[in-house]
Amino acid sequence: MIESETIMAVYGQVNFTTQESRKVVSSYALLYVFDANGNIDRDVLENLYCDVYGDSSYLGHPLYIGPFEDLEILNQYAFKLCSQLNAADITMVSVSEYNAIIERESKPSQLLLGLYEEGNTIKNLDRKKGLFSKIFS
Amino acid sequence: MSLTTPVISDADAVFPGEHWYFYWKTSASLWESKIAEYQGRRIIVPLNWSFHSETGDKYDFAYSRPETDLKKLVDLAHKYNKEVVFFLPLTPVPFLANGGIPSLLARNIAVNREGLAYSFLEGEDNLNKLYSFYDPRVFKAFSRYVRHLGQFFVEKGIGVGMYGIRGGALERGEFRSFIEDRSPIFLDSFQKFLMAKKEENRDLVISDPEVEETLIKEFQATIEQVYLEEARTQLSSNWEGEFDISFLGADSENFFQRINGQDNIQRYSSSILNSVSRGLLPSSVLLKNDIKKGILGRQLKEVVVNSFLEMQLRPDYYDENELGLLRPLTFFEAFELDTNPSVASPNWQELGLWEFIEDHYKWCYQYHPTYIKEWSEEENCQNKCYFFHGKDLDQKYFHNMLKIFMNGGYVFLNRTGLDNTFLKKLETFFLENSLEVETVNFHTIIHSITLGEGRLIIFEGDSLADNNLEQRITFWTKIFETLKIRHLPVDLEDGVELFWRSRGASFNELNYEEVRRLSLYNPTSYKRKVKVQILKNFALMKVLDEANVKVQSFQNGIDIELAPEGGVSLDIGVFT
Repeated sequence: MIESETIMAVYGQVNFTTQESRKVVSSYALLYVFDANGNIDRDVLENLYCDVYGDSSYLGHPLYIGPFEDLEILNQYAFKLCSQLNAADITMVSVSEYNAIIERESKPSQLLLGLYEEGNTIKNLDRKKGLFSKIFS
Repeated sequence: MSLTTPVISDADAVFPGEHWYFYWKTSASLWESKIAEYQGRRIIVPLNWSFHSETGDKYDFAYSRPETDLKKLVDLAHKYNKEVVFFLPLTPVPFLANGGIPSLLARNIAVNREGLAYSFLEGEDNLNKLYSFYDPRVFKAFSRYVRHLGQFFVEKGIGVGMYGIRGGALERGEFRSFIEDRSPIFLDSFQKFLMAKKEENRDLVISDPEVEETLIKEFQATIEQVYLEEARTQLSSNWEGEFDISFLGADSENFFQRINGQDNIQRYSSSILNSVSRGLLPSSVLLKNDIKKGILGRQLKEVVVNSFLEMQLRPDYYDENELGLLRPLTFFEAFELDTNPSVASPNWQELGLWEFIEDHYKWCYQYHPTYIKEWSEEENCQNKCYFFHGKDLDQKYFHNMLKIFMNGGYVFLNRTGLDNTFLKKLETFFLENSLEVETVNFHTIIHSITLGEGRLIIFEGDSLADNNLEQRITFWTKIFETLKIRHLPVDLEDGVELFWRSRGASFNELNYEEVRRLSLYNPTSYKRKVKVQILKNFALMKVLDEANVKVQSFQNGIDIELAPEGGVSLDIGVFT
């Protein structure tokens, strides 16, 4: 079981359509974002996306969050999400990394550990700790 | 919080839900005691391909291991007066390791359209992955498998029914079959398919992702059909039909919840009803037994085991005169075949139909997204509504539509994309039968034609879709006020699920024409209220199966308070 303070995000490349020319462009997107309590509410992810990038020139995707031009921008968004949710870290896992891990693991605990260890973990060093955490840290 | 690993009882592992029997999970020497103890009358035996062959070449049907002796299994079931049916997977399935493919053939992991490997958490906390059915070696081995299986059934004189099953899950409300694959081996086969298509039609150009998606669907359907035909041919003497199974907990979003130990019962509850409304058989075999002990288990029993499953396995039960079986109450049959994706036309969602149904006739519909429903002349279509998109119509469908209208059904035709030939045929039909066409403009142009009890309502879908949601819902509300559909309004609080079923009146219920059963389920952790209005020509007959519930009935209605995990059913008589 991953700690509730850790967020996991699986990202991949998805086709997005531009608002004006209706051109289809392949770009990075967040496919699934979850923590120990389950999937992160889509509204939280969408609102943050709008706050950070304003009105997109792309049509929103009904299923995924994006587009992100490159991995650096995607990671910046991930860090902002981690800060907003006051989580300790966020682990970014690409589709190909995910597939390699899932193929060899047979238990959920091993899968979660594999994702955490082999994904790219971004720490939230500015995380505010509550009184309880301060006492026990 | 429990500090110990929950122990799964042997019975739960062998009978994981809805009468399914996993014969490979127990020793053949224990089959008799398990079958003798089992309370249900029916035993569904899904066949485990890899259990009969590790290589895909040689098969064991009672030749070496006694656990592969399906004849013994059938004989034992008959000894204890149980009825056996076999389910043969025609796609990879999530309850078997490697999706059911023999281990030596499980070389190409199947991936979904996001590119993620299919993965599932089964009831014993193991991760199952699916392997591609697009590998030619897999198909060859499947052919050998069904041939050996067919020979075994014939040699041993096994006369019980066999159904082909296609596995899938509801992903954000839409059914996705596990035959869907985007692995490299799929893409390789798809390229060959495209080359063959281009040889047939040199002008074929894949201009955009939508065209490609349509061709992918066509290829997928072709492969699905190839597996089906092979199985049907080799097992012809036992073959009863095939259907789609929607596995609860098998969609990707649920997977990430479940690996973190989170089960969303509310979501499963809604998925059961959504599946049934789409003609999909829900299966809970991936879910742990402890979460099925409460309201979810009750819902599965009432909606699936005692109603929908029986209807699928015993079509004769569909007879109008059958008093015993409660059939799902259906007022609407909506067809959305998308056979002609190049023609732009709004779908039922965009036309606001689902929002209207959700508000007034929740779950009282059958949605047909892919398969053509065979029209039966005997089907009673009075007081039922049938929805067609003009762009989906072909000759057969067009005639079916007119037959429904002439038999007293209410037919709605979205004429956007309707071929001119059919428009002319309709005009001729109206002239020949001296039918008057009444035309009104209310959020769109509507033509209404009446013939006896039947109504044909033709409207311009594209201009209706230009209205806002409220106007679209008003459109449907106004039209339905002119139809004779008798139903009771139910006011539900968030999270409560309901399901209506219906049966004919029995001999001691002669005051009524029909008996409707309203079942209410509260899968939430909160107390919830429900109000049922009792209108003219309806009467509350009895309240049954009360659990954690308070019911108060008044002259014009019933107030119900459901505690968490609460449930109740109401039998309501309908008379004229």
